[in-house]
Amino acid sequence: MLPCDSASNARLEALYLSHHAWLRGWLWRRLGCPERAADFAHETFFRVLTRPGTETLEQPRAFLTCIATHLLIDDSRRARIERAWRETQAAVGQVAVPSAEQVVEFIDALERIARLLQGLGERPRKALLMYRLDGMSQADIAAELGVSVSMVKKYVAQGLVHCHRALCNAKHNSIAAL
Amino acid sequence: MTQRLPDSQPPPETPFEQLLSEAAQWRVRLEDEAATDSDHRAFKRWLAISDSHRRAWREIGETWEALGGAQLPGARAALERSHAEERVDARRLLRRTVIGLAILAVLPAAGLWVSNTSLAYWLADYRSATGERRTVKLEDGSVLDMNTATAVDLHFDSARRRIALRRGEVHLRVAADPDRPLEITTEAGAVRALGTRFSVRRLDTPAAGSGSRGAAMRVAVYESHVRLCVASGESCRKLRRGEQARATAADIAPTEAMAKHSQPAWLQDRMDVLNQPVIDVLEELARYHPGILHYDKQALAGLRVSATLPLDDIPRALDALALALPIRIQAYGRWLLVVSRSEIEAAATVP
Repeated sequence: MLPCDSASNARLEALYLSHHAWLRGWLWRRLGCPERAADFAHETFFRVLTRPGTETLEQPRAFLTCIATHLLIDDSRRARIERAWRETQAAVGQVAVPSAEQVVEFIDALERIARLLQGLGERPRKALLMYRLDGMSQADIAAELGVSVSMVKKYVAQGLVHCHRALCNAKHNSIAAL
Repeated sequence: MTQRLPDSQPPPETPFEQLLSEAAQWRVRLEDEAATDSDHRAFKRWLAISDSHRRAWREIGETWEALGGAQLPGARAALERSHAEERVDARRLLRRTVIGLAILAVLPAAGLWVSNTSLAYWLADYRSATGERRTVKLEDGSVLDMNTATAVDLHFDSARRRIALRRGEVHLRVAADPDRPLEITTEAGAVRALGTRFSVRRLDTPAAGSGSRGAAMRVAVYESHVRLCVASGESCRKLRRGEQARATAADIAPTEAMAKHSQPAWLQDRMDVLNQPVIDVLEELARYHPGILHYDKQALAGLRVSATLPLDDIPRALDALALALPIRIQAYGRWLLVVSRSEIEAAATVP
């Protein structure tokens, strides 16, 4: 929802004019690269401007840095996942090479999953991943983790509830609170 | 099947959170190759109980799907590896964020927020610091209790007694004076009383992201009654003993009954929590902590708690929460308290 009355447009414009250069500078210092800083600043403002109610921010710079920080974290997570996957692939010497689009889609999916798993305990997380991604049987997971099958069930169910919550939160607040 | 699963009729209003947990357990149980026909029959009975059961089942199914789509070889290894790196990074980042947070907290305070509340706070006739509770005896004999981070201005003359609540929350024992009504005002409206006891709390939303910056307040009556009128003048309501209501400048929300208390718990430096989301509790506790109380809303979402917590010792209140919940408290000096979800998994989500 874009605010469309002229008063709020004027406020958004004022927000952009007074803080865009500052935010770019802030990002530049963090990233050490002017081009990437400009990209992130652009993305941050895009998020802010397409979010209802932001034309009356009382602490615009705190808010902008909060969103920018989330974008940076997401970006570094994505890069990390992609690197980890490529390194794993190189290590096992894979047979079929997926296309570039397939890789992008795949990394997207992994990133989404990583975000849902955030904050989940180690064991439920491992159990859920072994079960859902690797398709391991509950008995094999139990052996691998050194716990009973009923504990595995408990872990996986717990992981599902956790991810459900994360999905709901993601739907409700498109930008997580800092 | 050693696991005990709910297959008898639960009470009519099972919380949805619990239904989700049950649905997840069913999903896992039925996915198992060892699932029997009688498991399926029991599941059908569970599913037939209510629409909420079916909704929980559907939503868990959607979550299941959301976790799919990445079944390429190496997916789990990549996730585990990046997760391990992330934890190392997170520790490094936290050290940086501690400084970053402090700056974030100071910058807005020093800059924009000052303009509407802090200046008024520092210029006010009476104020209490964050974490402090003060009682002031007014010239007319009324007694004003100020909760944490509160500021008031007094305008008393021969015709009226007006108290402007600039910030925070007060409880007032009004000395009767039929010729001079007493009024507490905020930008949201005014509460008028003759002789009575009541409390008023400003519900300011300085946090960015909430969008609208409407003034709001909550009024609770402990004795006799008050008259609450919103600033626009469009609506007024009489609130009686044991009632409370939230008001904005435009209107008054429906009156709510209070739990049986003759005075607010904060007057005894105490907070009573009955099955509330822990993030709401932390938000409330943060009002009393002079430093920063940082918590990850996403990680803590869904955790609920019942407790009686001390308000004059926030670290102790957090320790009490940590005893009841899978959360971890880290203190960085006296000012920064960080609450995170701990890795003790078992008891947490499965009731």
